[in-house]
Amino acid sequence: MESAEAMVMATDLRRSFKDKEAVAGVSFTVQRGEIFGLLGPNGAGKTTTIRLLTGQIDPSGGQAIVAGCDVVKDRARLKQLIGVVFEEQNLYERLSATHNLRFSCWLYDLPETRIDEVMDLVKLEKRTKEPVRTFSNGMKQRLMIARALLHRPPVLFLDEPTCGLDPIAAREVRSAITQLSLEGITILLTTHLLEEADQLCDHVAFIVNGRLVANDTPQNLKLSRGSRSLEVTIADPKRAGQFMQLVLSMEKPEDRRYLADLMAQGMVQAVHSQEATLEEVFVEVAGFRPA
Amino acid sequence: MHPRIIWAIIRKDLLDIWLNKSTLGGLIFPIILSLVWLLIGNLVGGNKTSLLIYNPGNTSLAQAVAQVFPNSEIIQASSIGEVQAAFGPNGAKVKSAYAVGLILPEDFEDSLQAVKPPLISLYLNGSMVNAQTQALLQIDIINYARAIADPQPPVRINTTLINPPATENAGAILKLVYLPLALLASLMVGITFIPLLLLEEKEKKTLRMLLVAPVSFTDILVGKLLVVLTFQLTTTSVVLLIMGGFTGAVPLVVLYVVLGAGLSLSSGLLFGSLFNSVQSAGTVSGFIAFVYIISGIFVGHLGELMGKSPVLQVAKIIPTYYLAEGVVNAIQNRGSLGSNLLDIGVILGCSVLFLAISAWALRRQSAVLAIV
Repeated sequence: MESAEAMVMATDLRRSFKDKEAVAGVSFTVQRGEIFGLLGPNGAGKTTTIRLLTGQIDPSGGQAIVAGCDVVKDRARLKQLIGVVFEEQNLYERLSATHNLRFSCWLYDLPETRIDEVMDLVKLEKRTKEPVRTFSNGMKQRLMIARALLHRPPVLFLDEPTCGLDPIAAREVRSAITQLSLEGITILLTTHLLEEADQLCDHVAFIVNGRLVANDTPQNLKLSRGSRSLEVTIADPKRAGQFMQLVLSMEKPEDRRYLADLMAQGMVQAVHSQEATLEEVFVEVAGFRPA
Repeated sequence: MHPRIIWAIIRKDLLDIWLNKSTLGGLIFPIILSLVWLLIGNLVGGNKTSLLIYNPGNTSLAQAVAQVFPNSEIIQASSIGEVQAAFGPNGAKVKSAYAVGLILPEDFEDSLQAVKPPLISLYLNGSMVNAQTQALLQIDIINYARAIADPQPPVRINTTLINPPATENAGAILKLVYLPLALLASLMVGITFIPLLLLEEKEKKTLRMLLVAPVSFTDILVGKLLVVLTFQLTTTSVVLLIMGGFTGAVPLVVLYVVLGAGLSLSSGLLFGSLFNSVQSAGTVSGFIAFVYIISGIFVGHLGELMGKSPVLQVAKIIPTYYLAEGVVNAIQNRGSLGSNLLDIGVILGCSVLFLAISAWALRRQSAVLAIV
């Protein structure tokens, strides 16, 4: 990862629709090359936050700077510096994958040689001439990512990138996201799948009713909420071939000594840390389980 | 507005239309329809109508009379006697190759200018020209004279009828109405395609993708309007070519084609801006296109025959009535300045009104687009 440089800065960002405050004073920062996950249940304000950060709608209050551009005052330049992958699949289905990307090349005034590069990146190079309507959901999602990357944006917004995909397609998309992050692209994604965020994100923020209720690395969030203990599976000394589980605290010296003895005797079959899952952290801070 | 972006949208839409077989079918439908009408017209009443005309003053009235028959030829008579001999006296039963004979005085136009009603001899062959067309011919001659000057009466017509009147000729009647109908049918392109192109972007959510790219809503609108305008002008021109419409006052015909394209586009934009789905806009625009086309029936000869019928008055509420009337008059070289100004004024006025309503609706939509 490159040196710390804020690529997305939201400060007390707000947006109301009639009487409802969809985003109610959200503040966070995303550093260059980070994958930042905005997590929350449906209707929490994730998509509205993305629309605010991508200049699709104006904030009712607060400020947002993305890739050095104020999202309200410098919208024209902002559009050149961001890529957006929407939750809904919005491709021209009658056109081929190449034609979809060629259209974006025309819009951004890019050489068409760039099409092959992004197709390689999302592993679609063998289906370039086929109409998009013949693609699977996973392929369409990858094509949308390719389209968003065509003009080499330093910041990429992904709104529920694996929503509606089967497990294999979702894994392909996650793999593509990880690859992009390794190439230095800053990624802000929204998801309601906490396990996915745990796997992908360097940083996560929980949003509930338009407000951020937690913002940290997944590891820190899990450690701060879970217990410092280990679940140890050992061979049962009384019944040959059977196993038993013990929970040992890492805080107590006697438990630490006992674990060392077990290890020395070669009885330990498996050790699992007892840190909380992101879902458990979410339940604790939000007060309910995500949908 | 960004020309490069607009050109990109045009290229994408052209490709998308090409790949969409049903859209492509809709585009060529008016052309196929006019070919079918032409074929039916030729099958039902396809014989060439010969007109023997003595026209020493070379007045354009000869062409105006010929326009009453969609498939006609003018034979120039060298003397008055040649016309008289070809038809014979009133009520005679003679075999004649000519449907109409006309003797025009040399000073026909000058007499009209001098407000002196000129005398015309009109010979009608009842076995080739039905009673309705006979009446239309006389109305046509009077209208032509009125367009030059307006003496009372404008012209004196001495009519000679040979052979008993023929029964109604379906082919001839059909030919009299299908030109304005074909022209108005070609306007379906703009009325149905603008909503389709606009609303499909909205329905398929691709509009949102465009709006996070360096594209303005104006670029999108202009790009789509130019695509449909190109198709509209091409289709109307091809239809008129098939129907033999580029005759008479050709510059005026072209002006009406352009005005018609404007009316068609503004109507399409209106439906595209007032509705949110391709299906609802398609249903309403399809119905309106039908009403637009039907108004063409009441234009020209049929309209003249209907006089002050209430049905004709209702048809006059529809703006395309004035478009069809303007084109038919221009083709027949018989529209007066007043009638042309009325036709152009109504078409332009409606187009501007539709554009204004569309602009208001689109402005509202762009404001709420983000929360859709």
